Amino acid sequence: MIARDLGNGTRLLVLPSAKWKTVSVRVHLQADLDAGRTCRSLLAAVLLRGTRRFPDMTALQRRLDSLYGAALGAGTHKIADVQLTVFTLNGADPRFLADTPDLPVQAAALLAEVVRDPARAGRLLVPAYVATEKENLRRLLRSQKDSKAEYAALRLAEIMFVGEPYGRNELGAAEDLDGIDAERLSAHYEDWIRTAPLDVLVAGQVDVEAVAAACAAFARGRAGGPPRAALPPRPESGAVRTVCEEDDVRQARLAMGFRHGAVIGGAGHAAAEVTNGMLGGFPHSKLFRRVREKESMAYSVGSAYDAGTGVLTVSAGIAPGACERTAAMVREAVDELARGAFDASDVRASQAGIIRRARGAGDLPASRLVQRYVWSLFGASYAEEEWVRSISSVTGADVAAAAGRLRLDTVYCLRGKERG
Amino acid sequence: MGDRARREILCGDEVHTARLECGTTLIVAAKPGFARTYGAVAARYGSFDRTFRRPGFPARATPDGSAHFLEHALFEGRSGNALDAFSRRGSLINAATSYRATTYYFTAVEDFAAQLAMLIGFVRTPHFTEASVAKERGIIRQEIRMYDDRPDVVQHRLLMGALFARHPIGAHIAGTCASIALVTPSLLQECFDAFYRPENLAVIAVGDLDFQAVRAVAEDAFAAPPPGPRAGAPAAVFEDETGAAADPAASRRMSIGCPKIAVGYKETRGAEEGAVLVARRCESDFLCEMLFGRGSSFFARLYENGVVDESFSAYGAVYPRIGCIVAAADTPRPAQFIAAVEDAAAHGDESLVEEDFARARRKFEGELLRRCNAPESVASLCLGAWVDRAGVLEALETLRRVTLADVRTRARAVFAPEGRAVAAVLPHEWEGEPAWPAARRGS
Repeated sequence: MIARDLGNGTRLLVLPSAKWKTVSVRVHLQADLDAGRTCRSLLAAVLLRGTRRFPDMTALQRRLDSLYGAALGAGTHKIADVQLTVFTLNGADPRFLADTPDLPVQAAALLAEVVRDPARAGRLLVPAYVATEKENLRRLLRSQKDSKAEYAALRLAEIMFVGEPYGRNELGAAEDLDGIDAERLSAHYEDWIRTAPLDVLVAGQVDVEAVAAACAAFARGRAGGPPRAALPPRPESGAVRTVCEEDDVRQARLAMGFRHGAVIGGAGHAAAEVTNGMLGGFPHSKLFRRVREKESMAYSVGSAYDAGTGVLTVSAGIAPGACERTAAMVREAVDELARGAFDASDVRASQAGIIRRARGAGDLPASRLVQRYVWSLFGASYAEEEWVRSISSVTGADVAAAAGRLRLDTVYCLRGKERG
Repeated sequence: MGDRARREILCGDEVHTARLECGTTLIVAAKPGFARTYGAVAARYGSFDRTFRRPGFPARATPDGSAHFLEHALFEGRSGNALDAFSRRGSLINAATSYRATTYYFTAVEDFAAQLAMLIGFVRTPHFTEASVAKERGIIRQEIRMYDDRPDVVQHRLLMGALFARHPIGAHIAGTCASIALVTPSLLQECFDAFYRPENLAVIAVGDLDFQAVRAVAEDAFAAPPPGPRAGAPAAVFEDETGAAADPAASRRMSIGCPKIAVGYKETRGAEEGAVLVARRCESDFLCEMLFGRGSSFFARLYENGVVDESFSAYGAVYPRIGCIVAAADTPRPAQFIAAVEDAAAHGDESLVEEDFARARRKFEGELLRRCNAPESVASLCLGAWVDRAGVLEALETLRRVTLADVRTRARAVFAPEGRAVAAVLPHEWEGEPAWPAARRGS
């Protein structure tokens, strides 16, 4: 990996590799998960509408098509209390094409135009684009309930982290949209794009010097600093919150949140991951074997550990009347892990699955770069061998201790209006 | 040893295709430098094979969801569960049933040969008991309910049912809670005997692999003769479809944020396969891209007027005997959306011009390269070609061969007004004007 400081709070990280058929360019813009998040979520869409040189969607899309169907995308994500706005451009590797040998440079330059040189009407972002994208975002927020599994996870986070930044929707809030017009959005854009920590990540077979020269356009006229550290939410001790909601669904969705506390690269991170694997991370886990394979109560059941928040979540799609019973089975499985009621082979299986994932991540363009970026937000540096070693050294006693630290915080259940 | 292997180059990587001694096809694609290795066993058996005939036997009708049920049941082996066995070795394991194939696959970073042999063992050694079938039925019932709550799945099924009166494409691949209640161990055994013959299977391996080594493992795993009587390859039996849509409009209410509208145009064809089928798919892709793609005037006009957003998609589905072109979107203005699609379809072939054709071809070339980035997507390319009975390079060669005239001819054939149907999934609270023809189906 080659790191370059492009100046003005702008950094470039390149992973040169001939392994892929593509060159992928990503831009990460860091911000607080605060009231301005709706503006940035909107900007992720507005900036894709056009640049000064390609001022509407058709012109921009035709430019992308001419670059062998380069794929342009943007979106917002949350990591602990950070909102990350990400722009991506995936282009073909010119080694496999008849022409366009400088495609990686053109791709990086085009992404810089999208982010830094948007289509404008006078000094403002194009008001018609802002108006359409406001309605699109309003609709997107309403449609978050379309996927019941995702909706249950969203509600769990809102309830569990109420009052904390992580409880906010990274896509923004519908009620904020009314107060946003082209004037306000343009002001927000100018300030954010000038000061937000900006990282450019490039993976593929590229001429590093040429790409770095093209990426200088990202840094021009900025006055930013390096990304700030991400702050995980503070654990809350109190009674378990239980929320049941009804909707027109044929299957109930159960989502449970356990606070643990181990964060990325910190003490106990590896043990928390192995514990999660044994609870519900893999088909050999307690939840999969019991809830699905033994009781045939679910098709999808599993758990995930978010080392950004130090929280373990469980998710299941079950029969409408089975929420309480399933929640009890989950609590029992956690207790068993804490008591050490498992085989050494379960620990090894979980370790093997996590190591497979770590080894395989290097096959995905940009995956290593993103991992390195996210770990750095927690003051940690990711190294594959070191991570594999720390996963391998987790013992049964570590797992029992990690499970013992899991505190059930919130139980959320979405179920059908007619029980039965 | 089986017959000689064919060696081809797909986007810079070697692909070997051979036939094993037993008749099974073997495809090995190289991904040098990759840590992940992908292995799969596939059977040409999917939901389209609901009614089938074996040489010397009468036609056999089976319940919807039988192929998918068999996929679940085969992972329950005599000496344990495949999901557990692979997961304990750290590997990712899963299976999928589509319209025309069932695929069992895993991703590993070590010990590939042993796990490929293990997968072949699971797929070739059925062990169906009343207890294991009852257990899987409970799991599948929850899977079906999950799909029933997914508006995209519901919409697709509504549309296919509205377009096709008799073809199994109108039924869900997993079946219904009622249809899977009819599945028994003996039915599963019968379907297994019919479709899991070695000559109806393929083994696909993608990764940093040596072809001869994989071939030796596969030959070895297939060495034992298959159990059961040899009856020859089964063929799906279809009732005739007319060119007209079964139902011009179908709708359902669900708990969703915005109306989801899909407009489909139906095609009926002969039982095409191989290069002919691949060419038809390629023409469909060009047609959708040129008429409805992100760079089209259709998309720009509708997007700028707030009729569609990023959720818009247009695609061609192409199978032997049937196919369709679909344009779908989440839209706050269903009537405008439907009218715009109809208008584009009616004037389809006039708006197809050389410049857009050349642009689309360039785009598809880049997309094919992107698909060759990961072992999983290379494997799906190889699998798709095998299911179509085409070569692995056929898609790329067709892309270079197809002409604008072919696409224009296709446009004239596919957009017949009587073959059109609309499927709408609407929010409960939606009170918009009735935007589509009055006839409705569903709840």
